[in-house]
Amino acid sequence: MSGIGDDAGGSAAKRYRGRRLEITRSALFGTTLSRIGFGLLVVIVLFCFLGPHIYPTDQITTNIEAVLDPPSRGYPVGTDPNGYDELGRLMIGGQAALKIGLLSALLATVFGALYGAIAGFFGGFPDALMMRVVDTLLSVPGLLILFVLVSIYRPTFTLLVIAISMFAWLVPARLVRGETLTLKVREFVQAARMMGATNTRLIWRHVLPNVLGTITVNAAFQVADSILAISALSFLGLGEAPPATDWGTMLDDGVSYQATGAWWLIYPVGGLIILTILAFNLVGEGVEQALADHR
Amino acid sequence: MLWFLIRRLAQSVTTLLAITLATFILFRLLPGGMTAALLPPRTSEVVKARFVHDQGLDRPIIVQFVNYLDRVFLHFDLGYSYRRNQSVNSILGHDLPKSAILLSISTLLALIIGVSAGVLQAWRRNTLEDHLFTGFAFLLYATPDYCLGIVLIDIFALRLHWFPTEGPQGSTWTSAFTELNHFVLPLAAVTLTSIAVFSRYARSSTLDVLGQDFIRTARAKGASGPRVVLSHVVRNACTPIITLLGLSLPSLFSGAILIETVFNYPGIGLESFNAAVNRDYAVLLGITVVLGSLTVLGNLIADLAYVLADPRVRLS
Repeated sequence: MSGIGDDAGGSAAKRYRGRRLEITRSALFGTTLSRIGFGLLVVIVLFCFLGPHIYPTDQITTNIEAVLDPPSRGYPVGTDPNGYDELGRLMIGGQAALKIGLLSALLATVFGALYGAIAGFFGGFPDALMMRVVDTLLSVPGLLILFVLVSIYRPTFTLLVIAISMFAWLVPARLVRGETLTLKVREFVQAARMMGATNTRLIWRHVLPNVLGTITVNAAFQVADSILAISALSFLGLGEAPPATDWGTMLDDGVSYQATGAWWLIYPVGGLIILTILAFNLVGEGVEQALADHR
Repeated sequence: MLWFLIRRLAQSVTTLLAITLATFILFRLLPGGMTAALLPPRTSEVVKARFVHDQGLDRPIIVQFVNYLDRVFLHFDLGYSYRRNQSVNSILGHDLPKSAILLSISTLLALIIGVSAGVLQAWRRNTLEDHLFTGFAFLLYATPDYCLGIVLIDIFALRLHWFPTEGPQGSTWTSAFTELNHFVLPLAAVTLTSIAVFSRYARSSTLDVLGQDFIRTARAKGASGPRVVLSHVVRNACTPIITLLGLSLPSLFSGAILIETVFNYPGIGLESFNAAVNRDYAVLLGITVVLGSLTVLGNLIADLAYVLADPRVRLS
């Protein structure tokens, strides 16, 4: 079906693509908010993924001689109840939180967007049915169901990603459906339909590219929410088993020794959770502002 | 209006049925099924068989579901927790009011503070105060309530000794008031982290309202600034927040699980945490159904309130 429009207007298409690239660039980096957000993110990602190469620590074997040491020259952020170096632990804990957050947000966004686009595009009974499913899941406290799942099956990386995306796809599905409803009656979609485009092509080439802005904004917020969810689960002791760790588990460990005054097990990790969520929220907010300016 | 009501009610009932069906199926898919879920471990086979028969678990699944619906919605009987040796009704009857008092007071406080802050911000938009509060709101919004709870405990309980580390431990909801000093920190944690949502919504919807003709008319009639804000702006800016409130019940509850665990406050959140750890599925099933119903009800009320608050909403 890629005959009429595509080849004839090759340069126009190129120009169009160039303009879209320009919009994307200014949407991502155009506002102060998103620049601060991205700046923070770069620092956090470098800290978590490059940090262990610059500051290598042993995060597998416990060290009984350095249990709960306060910050000192040898241990800049002290040590934890197992004698692990807390600074190194912050790095590998962050890797887990970021990976699970990003992956589940990606999974949820892709699935939710497709689901919403299909529901909105076809309308009528399929739409009503599909949206009832969304409403139902939205009415159930997600954390409670995640609890049940994670308390039955041993929490692994894959299970955590899937469990968190299970409740994360609902919002993008709703948003995309709403936009699809208004898009499908617009002239350019009607025109493409007249030219004989199939439903798949209409959704893929005409609906989805136009909801990309909404999806991007939501995806940024989604990562923040997913990191919040994984931290909450592991804070309650339902994260991956040791020696693997993530920020929520570390905070939980810190709370156990809070009464002994081990502040270095609480404030650094709590601060990192907050900063990471803040960074993704800032990016989302910035992109939203930039897109609003373009309209 | 009547047609809208009927349609909306039908929608709510369908959602409610779907929630019940989903949880019903979920809990039957558990390894070991309902017997393993409800009976203590090391129950003899004879007792198990007896239990299966008495509970109707040997009947067709559709009959079981109808029986379950009948029990839950017509007799308001949520089942029995063999682990706690108490009916789920009595467990939830104890816990629900405690969480309700914490969540409702904090939401109310956050609503008052958040909306006034948002309206003031919009009124004095792009001033230093506006930007400062926006930054503050961003920070609060990014702070998980349990993180804030831990910090509050660390500073105000462990170091300054102003407040105790635990929430009220009394057996009824009135302990929130009789043990007020225990109630302050959990309340502060939930309230502070909820302010940002309301203030951001209130700010942006106030900005929308301020640009509209009826505000200019009110100004032109000679109404003073504060009068315009109080009688025209606030009411109109509140309508999106009504919907927000209706939708926020599940997330409020998810927050309650964590905050009640941090402060060891025996409400429905701590109950569900313990139930999940102890695999007490009768309690978990009951909590899910009750909270799902409350959410559906909340959304319904929010939709109706929205229509009543904003006469421009068209019902189609």
